[in-house]
Amino acid sequence: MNSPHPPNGASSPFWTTRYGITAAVATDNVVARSLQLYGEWAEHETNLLSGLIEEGQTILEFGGDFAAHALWMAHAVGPLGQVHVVEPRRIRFQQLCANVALNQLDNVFTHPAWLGRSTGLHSFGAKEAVRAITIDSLQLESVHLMKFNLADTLVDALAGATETLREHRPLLYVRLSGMDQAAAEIASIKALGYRVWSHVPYLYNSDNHAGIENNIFPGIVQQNAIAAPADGHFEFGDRLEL
Amino acid sequence: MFALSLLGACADPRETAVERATRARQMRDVSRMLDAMEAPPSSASTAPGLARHPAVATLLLAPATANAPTPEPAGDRLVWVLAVVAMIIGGVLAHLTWQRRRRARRAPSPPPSIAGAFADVTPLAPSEATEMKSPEWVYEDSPYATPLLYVVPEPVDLLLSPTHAPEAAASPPASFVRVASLLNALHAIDASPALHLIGDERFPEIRRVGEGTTSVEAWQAILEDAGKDGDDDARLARWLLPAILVLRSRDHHRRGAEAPLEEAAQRTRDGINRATDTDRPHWVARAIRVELARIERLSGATRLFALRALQARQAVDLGAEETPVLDAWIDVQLTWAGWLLGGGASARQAEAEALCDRLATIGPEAMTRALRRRAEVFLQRAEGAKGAARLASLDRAQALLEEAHTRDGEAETALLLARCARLRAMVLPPADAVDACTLALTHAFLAEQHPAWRMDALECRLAIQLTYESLPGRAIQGEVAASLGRELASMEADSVGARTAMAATRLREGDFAGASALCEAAWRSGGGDSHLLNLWRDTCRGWTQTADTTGHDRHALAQAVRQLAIARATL
Repeated sequence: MNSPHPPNGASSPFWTTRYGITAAVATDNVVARSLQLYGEWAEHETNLLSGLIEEGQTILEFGGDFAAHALWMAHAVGPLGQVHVVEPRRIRFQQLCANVALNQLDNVFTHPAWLGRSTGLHSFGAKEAVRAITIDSLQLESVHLMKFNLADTLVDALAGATETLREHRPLLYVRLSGMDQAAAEIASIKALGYRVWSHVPYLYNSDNHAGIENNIFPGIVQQNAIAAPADGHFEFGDRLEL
Repeated sequence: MFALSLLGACADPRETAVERATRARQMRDVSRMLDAMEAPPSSASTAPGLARHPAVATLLLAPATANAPTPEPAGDRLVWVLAVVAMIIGGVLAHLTWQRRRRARRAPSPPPSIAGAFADVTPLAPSEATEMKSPEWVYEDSPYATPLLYVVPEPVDLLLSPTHAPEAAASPPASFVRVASLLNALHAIDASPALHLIGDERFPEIRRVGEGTTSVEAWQAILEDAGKDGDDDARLARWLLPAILVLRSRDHHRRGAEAPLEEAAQRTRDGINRATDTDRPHWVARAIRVELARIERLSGATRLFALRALQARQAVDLGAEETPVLDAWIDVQLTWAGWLLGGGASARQAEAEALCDRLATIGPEAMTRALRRRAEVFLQRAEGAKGAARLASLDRAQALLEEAHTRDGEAETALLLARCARLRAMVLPPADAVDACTLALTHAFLAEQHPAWRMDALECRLAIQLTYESLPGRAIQGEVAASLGRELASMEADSVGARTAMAATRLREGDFAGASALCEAAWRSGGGDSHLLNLWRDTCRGWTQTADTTGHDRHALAQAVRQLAIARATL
């Protein structure tokens, strides 16, 4: 898994990535391009989060990213832990499931759903609709980390998670949706009694799995945030608190 | 007879056969003169030379005449005069010979040696003795000769194989002499060495000061060559080689580091396979540290999985109460905790403390070690805490370090104590902070005496000085901090802490460009805490107020501000 290898060829049905095998997909998005070229996606996020996750924990992720993070999180929580991945987009969901099956991740649970403030249906344009659920409706026995990857979903998803958040007080890791929504998203997290710190990882990892020096994401960063309950003792050192 | 005994007493025990022959001849002459004095007077024994100098005879006669109780016949008197004159001349000759030998001995004197005692002395034939004109010391080579006591043995070039060094075959096979030769060879590489051996004499560790690669490469070459044999040098070389390979791997990026780390792991496995039962725990500890070095180069979850795998592999060895293994595993736990946040870090620290408990039960030496390691746990806890919790951890760490330093007196412990006391000074009330600074400074001075810790101790002294001068009511103490900063710069100190401290002194001096460059260098080498970034910000502010509005200075300032913005944005 750690041995260097050439970039994944377009003709190969599989890509060898840092944390397992993934099925090749069209490289029409940054996640797929990164997986295909570098053998990893958002590794700087993993650097931070892998210091937070322990064996036996439960993680909820909204947005599958081709199981790029589910692959490592499944190993990190171990056989006694669980990873729940919620993916509302039909094709993306199938690709997620394919990668979970390929890597035989028994402790990963996939959910084809939209996380909203109430249950019902959520439409993608005029052609497709997906079942909308709340996080509370998942009735998880425990949850230690919630990771939100999809833009423009955080506020509604948190609105449907009040009971879960109150009971389990998980850490939150979110990709903020941009300048227009960021203030509202941070405010919604703080309203739940959380402290929020900034995390701005570069998309390109110079120490990437494939050893590719060519940076196809020059200067591009993600504006993320990590939040911990204010009544806890969690500190992120010198990280910028928002 | 007194003259004989006098000459005997003056004779140097280190004289050679030539000198002995010369002296024997002189003594025979004096003896003959004395015999002549005791023998009945005869015409044959009369000294014709002296008889022809009546004035001299009269002068010499006067005291003898005065002491004579009764007048003697003229012939008897003349015999006595001749005898006394002969004795005096003999005495003068002997004295002059002795004086000449003493002068020759005072001039650049050869060092004292007991080599002669082992030399195979063969007396020279009288003819050879007479041919040698000056009595000089001659040392004869012997395979059994003890080396001169004051001579520092020349470094042995270990790049030469023993078959090409006949001296090696002739020298005694004492292990300590051979180990000393390897150490001499290693230390001869650099006048101000970047690598130091510390810790256990039989299983030392290598401490690197600075980032130079020349010494590392030279050490590796010597160790690889020395490790081929089967003697003590080779044993030490084989022990040190994995450590030097690990150091070398740190000069490369991850991919470049893989080869030296794999080689280090392989050599460690070889070491475990050939180790005796006594040595095995040391080699197991070495294997753990080499693996930890490899894991440090990984990232994210890969690192997490590798740590878990290491823990599973070492489960058997961890069950035994062996000091080296427990000590290495404390390293793992503390390093692991440093990568974690929250509960994960606390769990690893608790595990490290439990290992310290086990370490303390092994024996007195291990107990001292356990004190220091437990203090490190508390220091790490303090890093992640604030307010009273932080001070409590620091208090505990300081108490442990004081006890450890009382027991071992080691420079490393003194330096840890100095750092701990300075951290306490930063959270204590000003009055108590002064005492803490004093304690810190005292131990920083102690640590500075050891060359392996000198640079770190200087860095610590500068940090203490800056802390002290920032206390309420304390003024800047002249050039102390600036001088320390210059000294660190002259030593090319390149740690984040040293660069940050040097930047603070440059800022005080108004050298904004220099301070900014140091801040940027500290950031690029991994620093990124708020203290560094605030210092950099203050530097840029000061620079903005003084920089020229045009030219290079303005451009450099713009670059610095841009880099600072990037540093702050990517926190």
